[in-house]
Parts: sequence; structure tokens; C-alpha cells
Amino acid sequence: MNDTLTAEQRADALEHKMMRELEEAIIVKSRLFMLADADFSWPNGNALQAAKPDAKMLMGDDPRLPKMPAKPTLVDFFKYRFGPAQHLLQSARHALKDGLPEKMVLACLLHDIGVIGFIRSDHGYWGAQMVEPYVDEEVTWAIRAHQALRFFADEEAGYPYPDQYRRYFGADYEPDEYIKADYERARKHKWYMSARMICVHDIYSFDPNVTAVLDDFVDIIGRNFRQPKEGLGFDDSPSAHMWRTLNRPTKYL
Amino acid sequence: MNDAMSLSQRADALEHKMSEELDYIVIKSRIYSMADADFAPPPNAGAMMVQNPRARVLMGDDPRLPKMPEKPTLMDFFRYRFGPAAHVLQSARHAVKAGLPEKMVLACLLHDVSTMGFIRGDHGYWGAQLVEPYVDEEVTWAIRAHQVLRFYPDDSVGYEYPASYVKAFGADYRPDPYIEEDYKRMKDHKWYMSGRMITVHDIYSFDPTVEVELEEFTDVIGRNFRQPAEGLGYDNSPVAHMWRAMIRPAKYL
Repeated sequence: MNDTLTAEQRADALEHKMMRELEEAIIVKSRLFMLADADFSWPNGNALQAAKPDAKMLMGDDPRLPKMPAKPTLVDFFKYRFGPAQHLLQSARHALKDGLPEKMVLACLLHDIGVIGFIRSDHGYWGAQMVEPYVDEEVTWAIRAHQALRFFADEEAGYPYPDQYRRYFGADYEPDEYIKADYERARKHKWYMSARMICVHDIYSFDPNVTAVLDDFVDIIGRNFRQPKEGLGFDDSPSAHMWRTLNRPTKYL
Repeated sequence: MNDAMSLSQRADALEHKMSEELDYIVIKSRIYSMADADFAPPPNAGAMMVQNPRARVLMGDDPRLPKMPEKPTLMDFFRYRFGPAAHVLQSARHAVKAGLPEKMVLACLLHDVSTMGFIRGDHGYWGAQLVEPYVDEEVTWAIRAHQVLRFYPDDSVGYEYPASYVKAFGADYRPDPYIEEDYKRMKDHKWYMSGRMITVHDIYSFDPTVEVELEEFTDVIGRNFRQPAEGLGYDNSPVAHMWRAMIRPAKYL
């Protein structure tokens, strides 16, 4: 873009471009996203196109979302797709101060990646599946297991049942059977304490005086996250399509 | 199947939804919000509970959605979660008529499982991942491959580039480089023709006079889909959480 344009002009130009692209694109939401709104309607592509004859079904970048680099890194997903990461950054910082090994600092940094970037429900399982090709097996295991362990106290390790859960889910909340079963399996596992450490550092009350920034962890990511050179999503890994969905959540097919 | 819900069932569901609305708080997942181009941080559940002290964040069944059986089967997902299945049913019947082996009939029946029930973008990769623990490896491979092969003609079996794609994506649409790469890998694979057969039977023009019922394929499913005894979602398979996300798409954590 021309450097002689003012910032305001540039913003206007960008907005016009996006509006044009939007007029040319038909965006259809996925079934799962609609189910989350209890919307059981079924969008008909043909009818949508008949109403907007010059438009095409969206198969490329969504013009409403920030542009991603051609070969996106984990840090790019933090920048352009994920929601607020303060909780994870504080968790990771906490783990670092406590002298946890680097890979566990990474585990703390990524443990809620399912929440901040993808699907909240069962987010430990989702997060583990997303990062599995790129991290140490123990990191994957710990991220998955934190989902179950967080519902069960381990006072000795310094993890009481969170007060916040009592408030959010009610005092009578009982974890689902599959969570209980996973807890039983996890507590006897050789990596139990790694997952438990995620819970211990999964701090719920933020210190408003502390602002952790992602840049503090760039080196840890570099040493412990095997960033694919083709970009996350384009490396033909078993979870590549998951990252592509974060990249283009409204791709038609 | 949603079309299978009677009017009164739908009315009941709606009434239930409204009566329950005050008792629970739904926080949308990031990917759902991103599909709406909503980049706002998620609403703060704690603050919402201050407004409505008897409400809890949703951790159990979503009262707005049809109730799922405790041990759901593939058929239950067709009935209570998936969108209209006429396309895959017609595809599967087409495959039966052409004398394809049973497992390939199943592949045709499930090839768009992700479009119907989960995520549209890259639906072949998602669909393959969803069914992988439960079907023959060739079925998984073929479902994944159809995503790619559908963009490339194969005269040897009479598969032309779909006219509907020209209309939907534009005459100048070119598949993404990762699709091109996968095509190169897949075209020489020993199961190439299985992936291709899905595209051949992926019929785009429906015969409105033909009504195909899911029950027609009960036996094919029974013999070729390893329904877990615990129910889909509760069998501790690597993809169990994916089925659970369809059961409870708006679960808080």
C-alpha cells in the first residue's frame, strides 16, 4: 500500500476493500457453531447464491478477520486468532518462577489453548489434540489430563478444589463419569504430577499489577514447540486441519 | 435427523429452551464467535452471575437441544444432531446400486459427516478424524481423500469437475496449495480409487422423487461401524471429545 496515504486513508481503503470482499462472499456457518446457538436451521447454499447472484461461497480468507501470514506460527495464532491470553501468560510465568522445567512452562502456556482459540467444552482434550504433533509427549499428556485433574483436589501437591468452580457450577456439581474415569486413569500415571502442576499453576485470581507478555516466552516456544516450516495448518500433520479451521473458521467446504 | 423432529417436538424444545433460559449462562467458544467475526473477549461469567445469582454456567446437557441418549449411537447423532442427511443417503444408495463393497457404502454414507454435524471447512479431514477409531482404515482414508479429489476430474471413471463448483466458487477458483499437495500424494495411493468412488457417488443433483431413509443402512452401519458399547463420546477414544462437543456444543469447560 502507498506510504503517502495517511493512516486514516489507509484505514478507509482497507474498510472499502473488506466491504467489497464481503459483498462478494457468502458466509455459511458450520453446524456445530449453530448448534451452540440452538439454531437448527440449515442454510441452503443455492438459495443464498440466488439471492446474491454475483457472490461466491467463501473458500478463501474471511475478509472480516485479521489477515494471517502465509506460514503462520504459534505466535501468529496468539496475535491474530486467540482471545485474551493473560491467564495463560500468568500461568506460565508462575511456573517459570517456581522453577518448573521449560517443557512444563510451555504446557502451562498452552494448557487453555482450546479455550482461547477453539472449543471451550472439553478444552483439555482439544488443546492436547491440537499441539500433539509439535510438543513433547509429556506436554500433550499433561494438557489433556489437566481437564480431569482440575476437578479433583490434591492438597499435598498444593491444589485445593477451586472456590471459583463452586460458584460457577454450584456446590453440588459432580464431574461427568468420563471425567471421573479419566481421573482414575491419570492419577496412577507416571506423568500424573506434570498434569497436576498445570492445575497448581492454573491461577484463577490474577494479579492486576502483573502484565505478562508473550515475548517473555518466545525462546521457550522456540526451544519446545516444533514450529513446522510450512506454517501451522499447512504441514500435513494429523492436526493441520484444526489449525486451518482457526485460520479460516467460515470456509465453505 | 432434524427433519425427523415433529412439529410438536420442536415446539416442546422451544418452550423448554425459554423456560430454562434464566437458569444457565452460555459462553460461546472462540471458534463460534470468530465465525461471526466477533473478536470481543468472552463475556465474564462471574459478572453475569452477579446479575443473575441463581444461574450457573452450563456444564451439563444444553436444555435448548434435543436430549441425547446416555450411550449415543451413530444413528442417534443422525437423529438428534446432524442436519439434513438426504445427500449422504442418496450417495450411499447410489453406491449400493453400483455394487460397491459395503465398507465403501458406509464411506459414502459418512463422507459429509462433518458438514452435517460439525465443521464445514476441510470437512473431509474432520470427518475422517471423527470416524477413524470406528471404521476400516480404508474408509477413513477415502473420506479424507474425497476432500481433495473432488476438485480434480478423472475421465477414467467419468468424474468431471462439478458444475456446481463453478457456480459456487467461480470459474477461476483454484484449490489451495495444501489441497494440490494432498492430491499429488493421493493420486498414486493404493486406495486412490476408493477416495475417487466417493466423489463419483457424491451426487450433486438430487432426485426429489427419491426418499431414502437412514434405516435402509442400519445393517451396513451395524456391520461396518464399530459402535462403542459406552456410546460415542464416552469410550475414551482419541476422538471421543469431538463427539461430546456435538452432544454439548456450549458446555462451559
